[in-house]
Amino acid sequence: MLELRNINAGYDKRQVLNDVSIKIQPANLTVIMGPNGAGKSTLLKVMFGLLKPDSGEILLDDRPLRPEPSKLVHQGIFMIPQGKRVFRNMTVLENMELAGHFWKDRSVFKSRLEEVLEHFPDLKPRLEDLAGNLSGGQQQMVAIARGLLNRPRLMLLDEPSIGLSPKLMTDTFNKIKTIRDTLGTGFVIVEHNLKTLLPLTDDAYILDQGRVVYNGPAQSQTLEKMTASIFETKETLS
Amino acid sequence: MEYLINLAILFCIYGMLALSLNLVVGMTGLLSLAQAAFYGIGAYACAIGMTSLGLGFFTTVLLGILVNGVLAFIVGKILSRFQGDYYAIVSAGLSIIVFSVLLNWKDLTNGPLGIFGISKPAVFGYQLSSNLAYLLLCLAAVVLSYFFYNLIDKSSFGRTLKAIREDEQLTRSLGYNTKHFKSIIFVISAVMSGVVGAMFASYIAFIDPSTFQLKEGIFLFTIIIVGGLSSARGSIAGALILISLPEILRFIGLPYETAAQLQQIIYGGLLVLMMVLKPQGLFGKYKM
Repeated sequence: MLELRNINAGYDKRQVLNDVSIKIQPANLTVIMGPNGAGKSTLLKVMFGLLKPDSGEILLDDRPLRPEPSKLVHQGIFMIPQGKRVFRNMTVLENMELAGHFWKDRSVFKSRLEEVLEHFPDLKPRLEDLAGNLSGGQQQMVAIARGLLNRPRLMLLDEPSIGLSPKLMTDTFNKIKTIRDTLGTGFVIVEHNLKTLLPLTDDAYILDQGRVVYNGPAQSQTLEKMTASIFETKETLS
Repeated sequence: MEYLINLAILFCIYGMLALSLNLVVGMTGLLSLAQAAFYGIGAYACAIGMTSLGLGFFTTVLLGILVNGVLAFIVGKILSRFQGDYYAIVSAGLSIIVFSVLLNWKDLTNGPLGIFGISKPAVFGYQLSSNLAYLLLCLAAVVLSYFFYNLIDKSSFGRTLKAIREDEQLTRSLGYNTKHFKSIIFVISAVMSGVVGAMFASYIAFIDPSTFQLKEGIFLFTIIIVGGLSSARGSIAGALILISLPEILRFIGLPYETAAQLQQIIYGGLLVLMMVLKPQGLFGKYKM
């Protein structure tokens, strides 16, 4: 579905990604992991067009693509940037409405909102509340729900567990899996908290110093060994 | 009475300028210091159009809209790449450039000597020669500007601007071309300022470049911070306070020898006090 070939990218003169190639399969849960500074968030930014690569090729459905957020959203790809979940000074409903700019017809938005809220019943009574007053977990749910309004094919999530308690983190990952199973939405998740997430995911990539050092199934002994050595602790997975 | 009418007209002019600036600074979060430039261009388009080209007031307003619209579109495209402090510096640069052009392009602007003899407009054949009649025109324009501001504020366009203010990257991630939105609001604001500039020139009958310096942009900035960012009411209240406060201080019986200095100190002190007590301004939704 979404493929990156031989991507080199960075900021000014500092190269962060070195010859990175990855392939995201449709409707899969893909986790991208690696130590701090490995280039995980940079990779997500390149995928979504928030950072232009210096070289390499990006393909969507086997066709070359110059990613631009405004174009990708129309093609069913959404991103939730790291630590930026909601517009805190707006209500939950206004947050939702911001994602509904595709439809001139308000009734389409309303029906989509109803549809999405079925997956997030806790948000229903909070629609008129300021998003900034919600808990971290609820804000994450608003962000995911907002993305789902457009029935995306793929959502890119950058460290969705940041600031969440272990329970909320587990709830969030379970919700993501449920959405994938019921709606067929694929997810690419950059994440540190692998213990909770890995058992739920299909594919995994490990980045180290800007290079892909693992590419394969999320449940494998090789992966377990590699993560343990890269993160220098086995607690991450055990 | 004439004194009060004059004050009221100035209040209207600064109220409208504050509304136009608040669209960019308050609603969208762009630290623009370019407002004095567009205000000046509108004023000079009116002055040159009426005195040299013999155009009617409303034709010169259209001329100002055209010039400001084109310039703001080009500058807005450049500015839309910047944020925060950088935006302020680049927009201040524009203000300085426009001031220099007004000062030095003597063939067109008459340089530091300014332009005299700008007449008042005629509305439906009726010449607004009295200040009271002009005040009515200004009040109508303020009301119109106020509703226009609120129209944008409550629209989906306004909601997107507020989203950009809060988090531009998050707004982009929802598929918005944020540069496009930033450019559009910059043009709208510039055009509004230009119209006000024309009204000012026509009222005051004489303009020179000194009125349109960068410090005028900073004064407008002060108005919206005191009144409150992203608030139409705040823009009006800020203009009312900053226009009337120096006048009130003239009548509090300060010793003649030091009155001017004391007025400045009290004026500045009151502004500091207000910001300490109400950092988001009187009706503001955000702090700077």
